[in-house]
Amino acid sequence: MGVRLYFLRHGQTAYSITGGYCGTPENDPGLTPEGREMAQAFAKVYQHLPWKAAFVSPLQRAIETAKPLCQTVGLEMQIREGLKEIAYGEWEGLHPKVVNQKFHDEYVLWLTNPAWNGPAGGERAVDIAHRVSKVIEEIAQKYTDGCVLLVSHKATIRIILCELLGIDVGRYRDRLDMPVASLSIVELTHRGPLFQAIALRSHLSEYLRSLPST
Amino acid sequence: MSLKIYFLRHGETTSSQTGTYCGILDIDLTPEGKQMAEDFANVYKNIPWTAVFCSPLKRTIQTAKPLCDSLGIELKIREGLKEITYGQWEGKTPEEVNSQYHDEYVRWLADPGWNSPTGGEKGVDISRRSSEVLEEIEQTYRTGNVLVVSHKSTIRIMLCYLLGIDVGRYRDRIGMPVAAVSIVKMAEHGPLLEIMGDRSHLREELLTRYGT
Repeated sequence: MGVRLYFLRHGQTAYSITGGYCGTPENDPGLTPEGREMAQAFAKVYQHLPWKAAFVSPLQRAIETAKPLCQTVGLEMQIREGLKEIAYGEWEGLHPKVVNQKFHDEYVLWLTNPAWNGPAGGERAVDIAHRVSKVIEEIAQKYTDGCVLLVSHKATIRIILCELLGIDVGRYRDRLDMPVASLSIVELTHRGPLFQAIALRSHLSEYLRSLPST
Repeated sequence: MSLKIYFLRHGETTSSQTGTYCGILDIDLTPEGKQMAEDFANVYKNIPWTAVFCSPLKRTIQTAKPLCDSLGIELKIREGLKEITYGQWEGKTPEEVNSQYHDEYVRWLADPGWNSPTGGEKGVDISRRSSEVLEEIEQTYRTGNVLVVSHKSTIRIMLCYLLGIDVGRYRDRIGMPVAAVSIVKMAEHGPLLEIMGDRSHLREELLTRYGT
């Protein structure tokens, strides 16, 4: 059995409720109280797995999400820039409706094929796939068994899942859903990445699952 | 509102326990397999179901039965949802197949999209017949929740088809244990996978059972 990667999207933030674009460090909200409950719920259900390491995006919401499990199990967080959220450039902090008005043509291009079209001044999915792949490569080199946690973001996780599944990276927004605190499990086998599950949320209470999430 | 398709793999059989190839062999669920079907019905009976499509094999019909009985839904049996035909490999273990049909086995493992078990079906054939059922569902129901009860290979191949994954990768990229649920929403810009491989409806002692 090869190393198993646990991709966890961060818990609820104010942006994940309203759907505003939220990427880079200049725009770095923490979790809501419900978001912290999601992180606790994850730690409670998954603490008994044979954890080897935790790789975490440097953004506040990812660190706060990783914290309960890392504290319970005694893991040191390994912060990796490669796990950051997409940089939204000039769209940062804006609602999709506003972006559609102010940057109409770029917005339509991005919606249709975000692989090769970035938000104005932001990152293309091919760039994100490149930086996350380096983190996956590092993990594959260092660990041959057990479980490794990766706490990251909605766009970043969907892009790396596309890359590992062999889905065109330009389809990440249309083919995969990834609500807050959802968990996807991939085993790195000798025949490539084998997906056990995508976007599980059964570790959350019914109340937490019922909250709106973009 | 859009259409949501729920893919349910049948519950445990003796083959899912031993790992022998079981395609058109028409075996029953084990008692635990029947419990899996009951657990599914208990958790999912409150969803407003629009229709239930099911493979004609006994293990899928028995898996759909508790839900359909408790809600009075009629099963729509479709040949296109059957399991892969394993041909001369039916009922054999991977070790037996490896020694008796070595080269064909190696080719099939490497690319089951365009290579078939001896006398059996290629992935592309299964993709074609199962996508006709998906097409029928999309044409018939614009909205609502449709349950599709099928098999390990067939469900993985349908997911590859919907997600845009090479069909030859279905065995290597996607795990699909017995009684697992996957949900695809037919959204404005194509199929959106909401969840894959969910087994949280099963009671604890069923979750820990070994099974391919």
